[in-house]
Amino acid sequence: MNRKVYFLGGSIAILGLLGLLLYGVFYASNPKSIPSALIDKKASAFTVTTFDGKTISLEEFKGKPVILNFWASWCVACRKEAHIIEAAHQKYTPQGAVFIGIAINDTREDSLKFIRRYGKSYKLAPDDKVGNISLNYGITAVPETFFIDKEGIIRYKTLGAVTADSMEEFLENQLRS
Amino acid sequence: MIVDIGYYALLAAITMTLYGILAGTAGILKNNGNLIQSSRYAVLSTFSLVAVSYFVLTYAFITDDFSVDFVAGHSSTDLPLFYKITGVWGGMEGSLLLWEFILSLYIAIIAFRYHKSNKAILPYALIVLNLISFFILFMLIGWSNPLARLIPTPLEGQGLNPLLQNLGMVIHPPLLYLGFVGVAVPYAFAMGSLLRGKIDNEWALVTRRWTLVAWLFLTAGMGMGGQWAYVELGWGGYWAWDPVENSSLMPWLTATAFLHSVIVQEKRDSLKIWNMLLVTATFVLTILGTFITRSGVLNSVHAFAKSPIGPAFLIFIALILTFSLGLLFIRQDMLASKKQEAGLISRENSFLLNNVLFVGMAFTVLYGTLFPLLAEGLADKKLSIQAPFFNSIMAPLAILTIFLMGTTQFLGWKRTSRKMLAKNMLIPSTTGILFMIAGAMTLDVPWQFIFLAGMGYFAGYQVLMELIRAVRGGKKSKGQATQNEEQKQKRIKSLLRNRRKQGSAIIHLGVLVFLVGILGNYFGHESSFTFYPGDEKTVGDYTVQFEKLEESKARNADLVTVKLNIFKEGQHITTLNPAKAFYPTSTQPMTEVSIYRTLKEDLYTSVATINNDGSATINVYINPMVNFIWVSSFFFIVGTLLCLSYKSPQLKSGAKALKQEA
Amino acid sequence: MKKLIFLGLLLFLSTAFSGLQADELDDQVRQIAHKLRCPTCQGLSVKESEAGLADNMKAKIRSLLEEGKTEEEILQFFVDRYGEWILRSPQMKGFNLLLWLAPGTLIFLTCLILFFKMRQKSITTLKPEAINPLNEEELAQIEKELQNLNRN
Repeated sequence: MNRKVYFLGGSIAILGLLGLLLYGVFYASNPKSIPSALIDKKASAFTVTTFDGKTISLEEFKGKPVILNFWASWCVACRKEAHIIEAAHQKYTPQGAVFIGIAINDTREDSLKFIRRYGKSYKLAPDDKVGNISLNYGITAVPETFFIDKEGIIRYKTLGAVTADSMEEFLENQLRS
Repeated sequence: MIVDIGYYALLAAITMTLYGILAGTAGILKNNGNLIQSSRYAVLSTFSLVAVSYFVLTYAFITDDFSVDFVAGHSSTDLPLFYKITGVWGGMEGSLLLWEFILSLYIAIIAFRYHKSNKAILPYALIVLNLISFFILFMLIGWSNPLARLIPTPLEGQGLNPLLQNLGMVIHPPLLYLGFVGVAVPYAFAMGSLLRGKIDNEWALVTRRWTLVAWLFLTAGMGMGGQWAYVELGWGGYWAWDPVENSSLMPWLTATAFLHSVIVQEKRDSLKIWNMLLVTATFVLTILGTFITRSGVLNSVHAFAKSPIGPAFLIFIALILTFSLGLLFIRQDMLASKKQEAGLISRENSFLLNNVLFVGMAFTVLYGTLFPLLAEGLADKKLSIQAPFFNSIMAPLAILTIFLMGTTQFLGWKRTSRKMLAKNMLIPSTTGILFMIAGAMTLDVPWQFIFLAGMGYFAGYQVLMELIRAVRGGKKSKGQATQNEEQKQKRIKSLLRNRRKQGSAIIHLGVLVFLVGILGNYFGHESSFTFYPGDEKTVGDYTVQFEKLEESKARNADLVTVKLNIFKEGQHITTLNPAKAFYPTSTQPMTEVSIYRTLKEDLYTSVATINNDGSATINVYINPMVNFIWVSSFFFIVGTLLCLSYKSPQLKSGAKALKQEA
Repeated sequence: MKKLIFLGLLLFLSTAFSGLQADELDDQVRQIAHKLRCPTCQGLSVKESEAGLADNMKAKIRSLLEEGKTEEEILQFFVDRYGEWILRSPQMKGFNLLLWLAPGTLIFLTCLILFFKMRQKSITTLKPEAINPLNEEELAQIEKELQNLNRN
């Protein structure tokens, strides 16, 4: 009698374990993808000096949707997305969107080389020495891209090379309303 | 062409395994000795076929045959020959082949080693082992095929991960697999005896020996893995509680629990069901560990890429559990223990508590490792569970375990006389408590340190006393100043006869040596700084002088070395050469550490960055007592070998009886 | 003698390394960095990592400490930005209690059940005289047996 209880308990525990593993294999998110804690929160303000010497701050773009991209010249996926962001910039900046690229853990020289090589022309600026901006945005790896709406609220974040579709969908939506 | 032969060999091997299962089953059902005999020989041919396919893969590595996907992904033409040979287990598919290679070797050994002494159980055990082998081979010919072709054939391979180009990492996986796979043998014998439906203690003897073998390899494998992490990963530590590391620790913990509780079964004829459960748990945990390593479900440094073999392993785990527990449930009456008298404070109960602790530790590791999944499933949040969590839960359990280690030997079976207990405990426990109080007052260390050190002292005293007593050979010789030859002979004989006991005492001593290594952590010291050639920095007792940067070529990498002169008390003691290694096949440079080792402490240096202006940022760690960790492996190995060299009288007399029969 | 060796060894262990005193701020930075995971690596803390981001985090911890922030505030600073995920050992509250309490509770309950079972067993199986104080003769006998056992 007593032993049956133990066997039953054991079986339930094992079913739980198997269920958990099943969940892990089929339903759980990729352990490498990390959700941002900042979704639907107000984007933290920053003021930077761009590579061409202009001072910009996030606040001045209130009322416009912002694509905020973190990149570095040493990152491979950044090369892949470079022309994608540039193309989106050419298309949507005239319609009222804002594109900002913050370079992190990069030397000025390498950043400039990268900009020239890929013909980037949107607002590009280096992060400060400590990386305050990237830390405020909880960057885990480059590239990461934040989609900030007109009210200055972060709506999405992508890790890895950003896709043209995701920007298009977001910006069309924002610019139409 | 040759590659195809290797693949066909795998196909033939799986056929032979299947044949072995069928022939064995038929032989048992029809009670036909020839069929059983034939199933034993089938095992031998499986082994040869797997060996062929293993050597074919090795050959493909040596000849840079990049038409094999696995070779293209894990080798390159500039790889040294040695690493080409060992590259076979540098990735998932190849290491699974190594796994099967070892398993089929074990099965072949079993089939011929135990066909006389365990005649009755062997056919059943072989069926169980063949089923396991069948599953692995099934993976190998399908989802995880190491000999799969890559079209078009690339001219150059992607290269072996530079982290794996280290002697420690070369030895570590085979050792670990020898342990992991070794656990399948005790499991097969346990299940075999249940299948047979008649229980004697034969299974416990074989199971115990093979668990010891597996335990030895697991221990050595983990030690080697720690050593690898220490010299290769460059963060100054050796154990990170990473899911993959945990998955080798869990079966180790349950195997340790079994090795203790089987003593109770042997001496007191109880805990039989419990021991079956432990053997099963150990085996399932090795498969679960493989699942964790290979399915990509959990985040880990060592994990292979996410792969489709996860679901297959999951099904395998479910099958094993259903089969084992179902069988155990049906046969539980066979395992009824005799009702034994036992006092509350007795050796039986001490072993019981030992088991609760070891299984508790295994559970904690499993729970902590899988909890991120639970958190995501139930609370929809991502958590990280890393070293600080494990350390804080495991420390109290370790303290209790070490306390038991010092206590159990002085408890009697059935019951313990108070006088005896007082006699053996009084001195070590009072001095131990005094030591702890003194430590707490003078040192600025966390409570865990005080308790670990105190218990270590207590257990150390007891274990050494036990060893000394064993060498002296009991009380009698104490009074006599000299011993005659006869007595000496007797003493040596009894020492040899008791080598299992002495072996375990040596292992326990090893645990304490290990503990000293861990305690050293609490006094560790680290710093990191940027300096220019010619600069000097002081770290602890050492002065580190940056001589120059040096560029060189080594093997298949470009090295940038930071040459450091180390001074202590004004004396030049050594030069250290930490470096960054740039491999053509890898974008990130690798950190090559350089260590000045002494028994008291290691001076461990690694390069963080080499800056454009000629300066270098280096990390310097002082790791006190860390070498005790590696030294302890020596105790574990010697102790286990002593235990293994002992053959129980039961086993011997069994073999003798069989010989007489024959 | 043996005791002396032991005490000596342990005292050596205790005192040999207490002399090291590093820059206090450095140590504080390390202590906090050790509680945060390195976002780009696995298994390692910010302290142990050499990744660029981890360096930034260390610098940030330092500057926050210099501003007079407490350890708790600094950890919260990172949790706010990275989520709970950044902590290497989850906070002891809410759902996470399930993580922290389950192993201890299970082990404790098992011990409790075993204790009562074994006490039951010891009462029912041991003969009454075993519970009464033993006389000299019996004690001597048991001791002899024990020594035999020790030798085996």
